[in-house]
Amino acid sequence: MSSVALPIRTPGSPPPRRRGRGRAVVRGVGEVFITLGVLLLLMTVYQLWWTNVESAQAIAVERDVLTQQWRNTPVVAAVPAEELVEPKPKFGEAFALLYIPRMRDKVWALPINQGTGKDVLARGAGHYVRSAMPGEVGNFAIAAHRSTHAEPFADIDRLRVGDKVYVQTKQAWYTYTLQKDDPTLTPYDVWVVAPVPGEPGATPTKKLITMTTCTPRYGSTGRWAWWGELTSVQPASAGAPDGLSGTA
Amino acid sequence: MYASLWRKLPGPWPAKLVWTVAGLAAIVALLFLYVFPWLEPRLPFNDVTVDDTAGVSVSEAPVPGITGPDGTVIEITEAPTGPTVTPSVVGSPAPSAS
Repeated sequence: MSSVALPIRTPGSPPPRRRGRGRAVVRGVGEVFITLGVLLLLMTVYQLWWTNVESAQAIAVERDVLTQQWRNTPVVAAVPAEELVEPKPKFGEAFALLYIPRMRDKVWALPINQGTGKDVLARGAGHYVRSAMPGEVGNFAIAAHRSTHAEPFADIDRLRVGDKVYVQTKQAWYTYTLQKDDPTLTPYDVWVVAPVPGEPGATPTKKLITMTTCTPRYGSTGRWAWWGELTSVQPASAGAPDGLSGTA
Repeated sequence: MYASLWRKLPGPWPAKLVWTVAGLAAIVALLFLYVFPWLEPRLPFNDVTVDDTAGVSVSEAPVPGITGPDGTVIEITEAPTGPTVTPSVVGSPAPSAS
């Protein structure tokens, strides 16, 4: 039913058909804009909600697979815990679980996967492939989302100096103590993940951890990093560290 | 556009409504399952890493204080406003005494 010319029409007015076509064009343009707006809204819903749903599921699966593997093939350390060497995992493979009591809502048995690609970060935290492994002299550097994709590091602003970060692998528990942070970094500050942060090329002597995420929370213009140092190691057979079981 | 689509849908208006809801659901599913997952990593909204993918090597990084082709640190000039952040303190100046 196209618009029917109303009976009241002055002789000078444009013919109904032309007027109808103009209206159709205007309406068409308006509908295109409305459609684009709805698409943008849907995209936002996807990012802020649906990626969390999907990633939470993927994280749970990874965690189950990893703990199942560990349970099926327990290892008894043949060397003192301090001398354990973590094997380099395959790219994309989960090799550790991360526990941060201060961020326990989101970071409790969070899988750490090898690599920092977006597909990897959608399944937990990611390990900078060129950085050290847990317990190794150098810098164990990891990254995780602060918003979207299960937003593991959403609460990074709650961390304080002295907080503990626990890394569980098949062989051992590594306890790092946070020492300092910098919320004013740029995406190009690659020195933060260097073996000696801030001194690229320097030979590391300490066993450090670096955690990076984005800031502001719903943007990605800046980076926030936390650094800590390994303060204790115990073999997997010794069970979870005291601090961890105490808060669990 | 939408008016003519509505007119093309078969049946009386309740049937048209069912068709519309089904069509919208299909479109949203298509977007969430295929289009957005493809699009999202290509958007710059969710980067959390310091870049190790854009071909910026450590020695080339446009960081104040990092200069020289050998990547030696001359000085970190920016005084960050956050709680204590001179990068040299992290992992401490490492007198490499070991």
